[in-house]
Amino acid sequence: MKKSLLACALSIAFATSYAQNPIIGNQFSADPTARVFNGRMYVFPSHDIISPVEPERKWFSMADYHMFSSADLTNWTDHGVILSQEDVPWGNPTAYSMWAPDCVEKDGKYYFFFPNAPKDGRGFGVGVAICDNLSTGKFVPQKENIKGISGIDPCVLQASDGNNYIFWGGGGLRVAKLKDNLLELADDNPVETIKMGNREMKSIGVSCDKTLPKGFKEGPFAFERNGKFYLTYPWVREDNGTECLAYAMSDNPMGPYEYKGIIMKEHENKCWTNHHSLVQYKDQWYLFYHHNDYSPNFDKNRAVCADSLFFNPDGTIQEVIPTKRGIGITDASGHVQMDRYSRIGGGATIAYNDTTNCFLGWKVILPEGGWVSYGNVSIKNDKYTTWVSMPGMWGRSQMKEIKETTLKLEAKKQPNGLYELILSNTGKQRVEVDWISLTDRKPLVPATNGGMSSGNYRNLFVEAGYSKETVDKKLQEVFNDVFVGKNKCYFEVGKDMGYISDIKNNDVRTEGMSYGLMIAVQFDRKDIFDRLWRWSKKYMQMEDGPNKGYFRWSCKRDGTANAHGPASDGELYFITSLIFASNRWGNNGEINYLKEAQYILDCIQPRESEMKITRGRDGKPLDEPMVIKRTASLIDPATGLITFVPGANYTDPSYHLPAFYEVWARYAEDGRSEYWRDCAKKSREYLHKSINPVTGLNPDYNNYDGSLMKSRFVIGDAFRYDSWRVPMNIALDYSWSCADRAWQQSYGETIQNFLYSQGINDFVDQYNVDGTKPERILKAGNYPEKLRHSIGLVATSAAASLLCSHSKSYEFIDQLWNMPHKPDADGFFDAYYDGLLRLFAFMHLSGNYRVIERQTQLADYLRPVEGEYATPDKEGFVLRWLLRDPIIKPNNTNTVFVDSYINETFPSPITYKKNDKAWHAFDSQRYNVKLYRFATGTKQQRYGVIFWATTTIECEEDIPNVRFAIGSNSASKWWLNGEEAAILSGDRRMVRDDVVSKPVTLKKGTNVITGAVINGPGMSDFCFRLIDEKGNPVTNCKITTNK
Amino acid sequence: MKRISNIFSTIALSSLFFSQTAFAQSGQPWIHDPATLAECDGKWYTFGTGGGGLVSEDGWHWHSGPVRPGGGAAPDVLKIGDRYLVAYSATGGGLGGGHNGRVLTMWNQTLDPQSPLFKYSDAIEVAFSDGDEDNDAIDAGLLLDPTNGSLWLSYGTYFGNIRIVELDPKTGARKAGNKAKDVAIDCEASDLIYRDGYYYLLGTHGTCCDGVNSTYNIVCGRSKKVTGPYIDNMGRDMLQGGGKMVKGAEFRAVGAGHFGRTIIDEGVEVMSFHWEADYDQSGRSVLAVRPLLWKEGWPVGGEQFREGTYAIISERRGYSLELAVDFIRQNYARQRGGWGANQDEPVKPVPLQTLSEVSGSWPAGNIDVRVGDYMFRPHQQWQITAVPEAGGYLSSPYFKITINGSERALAAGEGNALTTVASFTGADEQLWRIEQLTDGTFRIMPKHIPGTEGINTKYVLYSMADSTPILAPYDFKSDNSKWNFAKLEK
Repeated sequence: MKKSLLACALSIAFATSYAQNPIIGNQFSADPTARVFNGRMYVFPSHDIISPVEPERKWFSMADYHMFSSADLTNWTDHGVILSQEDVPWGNPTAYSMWAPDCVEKDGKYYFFFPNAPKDGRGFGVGVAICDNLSTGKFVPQKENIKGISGIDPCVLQASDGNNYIFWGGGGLRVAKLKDNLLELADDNPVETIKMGNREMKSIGVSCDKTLPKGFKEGPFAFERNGKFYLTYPWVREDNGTECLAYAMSDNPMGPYEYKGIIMKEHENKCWTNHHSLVQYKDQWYLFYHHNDYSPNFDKNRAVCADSLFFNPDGTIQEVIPTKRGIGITDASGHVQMDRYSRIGGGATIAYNDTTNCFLGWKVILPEGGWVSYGNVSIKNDKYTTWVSMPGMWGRSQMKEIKETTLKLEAKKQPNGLYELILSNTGKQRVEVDWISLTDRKPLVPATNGGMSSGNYRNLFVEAGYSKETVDKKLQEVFNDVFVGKNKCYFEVGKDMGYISDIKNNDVRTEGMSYGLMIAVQFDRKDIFDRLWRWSKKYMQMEDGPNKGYFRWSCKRDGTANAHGPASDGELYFITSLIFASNRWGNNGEINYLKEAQYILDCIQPRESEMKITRGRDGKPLDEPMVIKRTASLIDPATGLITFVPGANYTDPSYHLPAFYEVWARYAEDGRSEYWRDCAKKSREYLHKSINPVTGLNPDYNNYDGSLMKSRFVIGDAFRYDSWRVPMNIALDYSWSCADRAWQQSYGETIQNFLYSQGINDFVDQYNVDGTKPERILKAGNYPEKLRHSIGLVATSAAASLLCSHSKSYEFIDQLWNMPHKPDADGFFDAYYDGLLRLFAFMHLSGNYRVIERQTQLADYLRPVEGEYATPDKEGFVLRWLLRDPIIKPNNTNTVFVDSYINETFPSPITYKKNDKAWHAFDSQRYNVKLYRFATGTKQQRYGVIFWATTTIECEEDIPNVRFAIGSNSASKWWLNGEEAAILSGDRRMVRDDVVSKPVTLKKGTNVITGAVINGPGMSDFCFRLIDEKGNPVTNCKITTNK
Repeated sequence: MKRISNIFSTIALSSLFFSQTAFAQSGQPWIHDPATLAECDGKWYTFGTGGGGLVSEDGWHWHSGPVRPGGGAAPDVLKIGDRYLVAYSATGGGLGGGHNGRVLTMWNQTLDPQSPLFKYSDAIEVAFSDGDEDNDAIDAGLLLDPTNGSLWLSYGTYFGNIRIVELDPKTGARKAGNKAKDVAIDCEASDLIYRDGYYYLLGTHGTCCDGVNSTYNIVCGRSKKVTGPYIDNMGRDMLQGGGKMVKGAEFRAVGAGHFGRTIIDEGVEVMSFHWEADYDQSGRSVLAVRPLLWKEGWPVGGEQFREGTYAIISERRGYSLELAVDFIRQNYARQRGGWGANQDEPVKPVPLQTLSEVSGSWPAGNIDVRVGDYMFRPHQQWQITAVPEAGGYLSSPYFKITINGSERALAAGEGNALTTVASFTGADEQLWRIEQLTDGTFRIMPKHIPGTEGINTKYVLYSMADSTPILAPYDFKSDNSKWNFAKLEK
């Protein structure tokens, strides 16, 4: 059950929150209670889901709570699940009844009040969960629910009289005083007899709605302001109506309350519920409420919104008109979602970008004269270009400068110093707009498809304005720094081996070796790849024992083992690099890359082995060696997550490269595709839990559930060297797979925002995951213990720009580009780790870190001729041909190849002159001569070309009444000894025996057959066979290309 | 073949069409690469290239509405158990410049976007193509093998070969370790079907997306094994370009592509596809539904039933449906043949008996019908006219069947009786569904039978005896259910 919910959460797209409604864009949310703690706004909503069980499927369904927070009401952080129904001791774990909650602070502790269905009995109870520290986001529920409350929608009023009152809904709106512990009702509460249906029962507290106009009420939210107590509540004021938000006032917290009016009218679209809270933040009051923006057809899946609220001088509340614009300030250099308008007119409307996934947001549709305005925008840089993103077909947006469109933008200064952007359409054609951006550099837009499916990789350096040539040159320089220059860490040994050394530690690690393999295959450097692989196989890969097939994680530079166990990330890169090598270079050479990869894949599966322990904990030899049976595997079998080392009970966030598993699933051919895809999914889920939602930082090591290890033995709770790789790894996962688009985009901006907040030129290389300075600084190699602005982290954080839309990313990219890799003031220089990460980042940001796809091998289609003569095959196909380099003749369709076109284009056969380098003799390996492969295999133009083919047929005697049976893609024309024999005109496909020639006579001696095939698009080929008058193959002749 | 450059213009055009006036016959059936029709809660759905799809309440009138995420080219949909499996490709086909294709599958409990149950599961990849290999993994076609419940996917385009892989019908995922197999060359928009011991691979040959110049045509080969080889009627493997034509062009429509088969009843099948250009609908790409006939084990694309004046001839006896009125002799002297005739007298045509010559004696109210010798007399001449405002069914609108030259209309009566009413009123019992069966004959079915509830889909015009027609349950195995139409003109 839990699993399916997780999967569900993962699939939801997350549009990074901007200051607009709804404020929560990565999930359904409802019933928001907003509270201010420590100067930060927290929102505690219900979490609507589509119920995984019947019969609730068509009803409200809520299994857990998330907490959200924001410092600026613009950027909202999802702190993840703070409480689940499985965790509540008194609750029914499958009731899906975690309805509207509240949270208050008392004496430094946070008390979370929530309704839930009890394990036994009927109806609802209200429970409390307590949290000591909001940054951990874990609330521990009490064993029992609050005695005396039967109902939902708790709200706690911390009154100025020093008392705490709890309001709830259940048989009307009720209120009772709480004890100081906030866990029980006070003993001095009045007791009333209330009617529930036909039953009369005693209830502690008082009904606070007795004096209010009748109609269904629920969801009370009470607060105190200027000595007055306010009771606000959703209310069905009309028969068969839906809920509006109303309020009443009193001088006493427990009433009686006097009805005052409406805060918000019923929703116009008939969304039945509304549920709310009021909160003051920095001198402004806000109303938080909900509406079903992301689920227009099902109003039980709602979305939290917020708008500003104002009091009249007499303390009464002004009605709030719900807006799309909502609250907070929007930075004009980001994506300004005009569809979340402040005002709209001239016939402009909004529509979902994708009706199958409303979380992908809206677009605004502007007819001629249509306009839309978006207020409270900050413009920090007056020099900007206005960019417009327009939704295109199939989710492919187009970004244009506004001057290329019929749109006009006015930036109007507001009294508060911010701007209102007014976008209007002056053209006749309607225009659709997803967002606009006012920036000097072109806004960054993360990819919507992974390279694994699109074959496309962004070159962010080029997007940032560096020229393609400069980027290529720089990339080569960075490569040379690692592999060639004086500070290189790659060393060749003998004539066929080489290694990469962690110079500062003076060893060779599987990490560096496998990185080297990856870089070599990415750069198409088979020489380097093969050298590194031979060294790895010879010195590192273990031949037998419990670690058979794994690699010793550290060796001396002469190959002597430093360690006898593996470190899991090495295997990860070895396997992936070998698969890429297999795809790129094939497996017909000395090294069968695929077989090597498959061997490792087999060895890393769970395997039971015996471990002999000869020494006790005290280090003294045991009298009798102890034999322990253990099952080790690279991937922890219980969680599907990669181990720190095989068999370990913890993992390393920087070892998580989900896209690698997807590469294995596609190409390893090890029969485990589904398993690897599942591992990828689990790895992504794990990353969500391992990364601090506020800082984007993760620990070096952690438990499989994402929690910190807090171990006395392993130092791994902070963000240090290992962790640097995580931003780059997630960028890789995004760039290759794009399977976790929403979360990863949000992650990228979060970590860049954090580092930026530390100073783009100053951020250091070690932090606690909450962003504070760690107690212990770890040193690199034997260099002094010091916090540095390490180029390794500069590199990986810049690589995270692949995930980002904000303009800060340009500063990260520029910094990496400009930062020289040179020794620190204290002489610190890490050619290895910093050097490799820097190279990886340059590969990423230049679009050169890719999924290496299987390359087609020419030899599968055409091979150089062998022997003097060939014969037709048993079906009469002529397979030996001289093929001429394609002649360029552009055509973008095949339908133009009518007879006259062909006769004009090649009126007569061209003749082959011996030793003409343009001609190549091949034996086709298939019945059809694949001209397209001839073109691609010899790196020539494949489309819009004419192919010429010729061959010579030798007969021992005249063979009369022979016909040529020909098929070609596309049109073709054929000659025998210069005489036209057949024409295949029009829009042709490869069809065997499509056209046959008139009867011809193959003369005794030599007969020259020549053909021309023309194509526009498409995979050009032809098949040509000889048949007799009865249609039977003619095979009694010899074919040669030597004449 | 021109797919790369032109598919966008096709789509762009079709989005403009939505804003224009509805086509009177069948709504707004604008689509490219329609998925096999799927029924959900009594409605028909199909999905097309680009994202949207079409829905029809009755199978005749189509409009936009269905939603499918992922965009891309040429999806397919198949009901498995109580769920729908949708296969699609978000990429490939030269989109974004390359042929990196992926076929993905996802489930939905319903195809109705308004239903609270409407939710697609996460899409999973079941096939892919690297940019340069002989395949472009788009254009999915699904087959649930009725012989053993296994699930198969065919995919590919002109860029190389059509391939097939096996999927797990429970998960929609690729069967572990299953390797793709090449089954055809130079096709697109393939589909697999099964019938009577043969698997059929339907492919689309030719060029799409070039309007009235598109040469798209649907061809097929068959195999005893689902994995092929698929051989055409000439013994040619589809991997060598073989393929027997199923549908190319019809008069005023060209470019049949993206086959889907729907079995309505035993012996009642239709094929769905698109025309690249319909000459009667501005040359747009439209959904077409036609009877699917079978001839000696090969599928043959039928044509829509056309309006006209017909004799309705029973398959049972060859008699003709007629009003139960007096046979009135024609007052025309018997002419001698070759032996005593005046050899010099020129021959001249014999005038046909006219309605006015005979109708005077007919009763004014209802007149029953029977079946008798076919002699093209006025009481045997039936005018068959579409009644588009009455809706329709897969392949055609409902028809009225009236005596030629009059308003007297064939009608279903209470107790499964047949009669004619003096004047066509548009009532449901006077509307007829005419469907061509797989053997080429027709079944004729009233929309409604008085005394019963709702729309009739069971009772057909039926020869109870050689001369006695009634309404009885359709039975493909009996010639009593079958009729032919003889056009009343030379």
